[in-house]
Amino acid sequence: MSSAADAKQIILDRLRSQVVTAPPLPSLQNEDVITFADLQGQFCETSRSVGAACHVVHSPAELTTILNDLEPFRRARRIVSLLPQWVPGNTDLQNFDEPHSLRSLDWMIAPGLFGVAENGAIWIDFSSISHRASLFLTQYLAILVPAKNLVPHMHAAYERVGRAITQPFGLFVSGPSKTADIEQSLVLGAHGCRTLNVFLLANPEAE
Amino acid sequence: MSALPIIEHPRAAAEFVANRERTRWHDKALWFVREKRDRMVRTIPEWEWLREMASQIKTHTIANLAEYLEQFERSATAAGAHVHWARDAEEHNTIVLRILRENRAQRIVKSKSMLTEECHLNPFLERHGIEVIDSDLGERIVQLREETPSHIVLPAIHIKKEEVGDTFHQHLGTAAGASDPKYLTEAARDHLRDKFLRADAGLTGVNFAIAETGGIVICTNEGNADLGASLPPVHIASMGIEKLIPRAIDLAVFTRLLARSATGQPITTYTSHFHGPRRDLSGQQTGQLHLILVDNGRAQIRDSPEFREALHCIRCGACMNTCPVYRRSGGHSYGAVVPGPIGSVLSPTIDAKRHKSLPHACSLCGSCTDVCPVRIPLHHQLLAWRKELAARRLLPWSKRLAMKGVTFVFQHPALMNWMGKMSRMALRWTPRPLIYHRWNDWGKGRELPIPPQQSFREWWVKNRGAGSAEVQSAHETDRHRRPKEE
Repeated sequence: MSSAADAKQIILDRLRSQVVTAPPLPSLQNEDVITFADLQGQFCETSRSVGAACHVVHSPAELTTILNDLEPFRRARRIVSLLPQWVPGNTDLQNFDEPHSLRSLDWMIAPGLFGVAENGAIWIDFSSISHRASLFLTQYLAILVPAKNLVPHMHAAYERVGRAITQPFGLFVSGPSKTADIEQSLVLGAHGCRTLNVFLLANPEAE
Repeated sequence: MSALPIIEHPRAAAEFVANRERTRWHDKALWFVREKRDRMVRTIPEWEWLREMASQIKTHTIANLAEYLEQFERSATAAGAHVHWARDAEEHNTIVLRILRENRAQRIVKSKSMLTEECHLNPFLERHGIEVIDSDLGERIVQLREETPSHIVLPAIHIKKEEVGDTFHQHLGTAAGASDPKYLTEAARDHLRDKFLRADAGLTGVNFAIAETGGIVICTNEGNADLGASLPPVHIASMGIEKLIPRAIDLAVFTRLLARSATGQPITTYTSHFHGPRRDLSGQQTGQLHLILVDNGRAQIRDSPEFREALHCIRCGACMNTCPVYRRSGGHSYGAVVPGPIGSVLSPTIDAKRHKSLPHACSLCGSCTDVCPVRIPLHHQLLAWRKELAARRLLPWSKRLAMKGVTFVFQHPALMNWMGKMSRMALRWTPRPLIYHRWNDWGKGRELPIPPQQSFREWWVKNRGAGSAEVQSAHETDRHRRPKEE
């Protein structure tokens, strides 16, 4: 224990022995940061460019129709739905003590709090999700985001997250898991979800 | 650790360079990534502002590093994480082993962390009977082949898919001769899922650590870090002390820069924020989070005004992808954990003698400085290293002698003119075998230029000198203009 305390003190003393002066932190205020006239269009375009399928939907029925058109969804045996009022699931995360039992999870349908137009990222709030591993174990992932909750860029995104950032876990997800580690050939479905379907819930006023 | 051999970059690169077809393939693969980066950067009008902000944030943080480290420790501890401090690689490895033993962990999964490569953690743990599985696909390939990563973002960029196929056939039982990346990736997914589910602990690196909130951020495309940090009950995250950023809002700047610079993506697939250990919905702790803060030479780099900015590095690898030397010589030729321009700056700060050839593995083209998202003046630092190595008498005698000779010639203009004339003549008239032979490095793999008829100096005297026609007419113009202006 004493040696561990020493290591800290030695590192800090070493750093303090060399006084370095620098200006204060910049404010990050910038009027000229990128904006998009059509947030929804931009978000969908970027989302597709990172390998996701992006659908604009108006009702649960519409969403179900799209899902049922997907072969992996029709074949799915274990489905977790965190939006049961939209899509019924058949597996409840809260019934599992260990995330390991979720290894055979086929589909997960989760709510996204908001999306970022510049990079297709969606913020997932985990404060009501038992087993954060579920989002990475599931073979296929679908996320529903209200179109009115789109922000243009990451500056607005972190502002939007605010103090919620200090929750044990928080995530931006942009597209399905992927790798290009074998000769730079892009393969979707590395360790996480094989596909990502993003459903943008249309903004009634904008229609 | 035993005394390490001195790396001679040209010799280490010789084998790679000898295979011209492979060199060209490697060069093209990396240039492809560089071009993706360029396309992505052009979509952000405020790119230069972002680089400037990143540079200012890092400059400020490194200056006040002790204060931010203490703030980070306070907030991380308040969130329930265990914070450990390690002065060097050995202390870091000992801490990891102690945590694993305390938790009776035998099998661990690791996601990409250049710091653990730097600390040679894998061989250390294996010597102590721990099974270590690298879970990033590229790193797993490299691990199965008993190699080391040749790039910090693309660890297996030097390996061809047929070779991956052979490795997987041998270790994972894939079909002989199969080399389809999709098929091989699927095999690795199955193999590693199993490892994730059986692991007793997960080790990850850290991309950013937030001083004000005590959280860490990890960016991956594969999702391996998240599985490793979410399935086993123990998560150990190792980070260099330079990974700190002061505020959560600073993440906006760095997440916008990182993936665009690294692979030409707008952001990585997963950007995960960890604050304290895993908890269930009632707030009950269900896992452990250990954060290890490692110095291992970083404070020493901070001491040096010349090289301090190298600590701004966010490990995107853009300087490697653009470097004409790296692209053609391969990452292994650097004999260092971090290759390429940033590696050639960092490695000699740890051991100048061992890495003395690296600052010369550079044409000073400056492309690395242009693409660096945090504006590290890389080629200036490489030049500064050359000066430093000369001052420490670490240059080979051949280079030292040549420098002395050149210094003498530069101080004697008449001698220099005469030598210039001689070499122009010599280059024109000397038979080829006397120029292109194995002792003349400048004649290897390239044609020397056809020497001009006259030197620039001779041209100047004739065209711009006091007696030249053009100068006469310029004087005329000048005389006519002057009265008007008055």
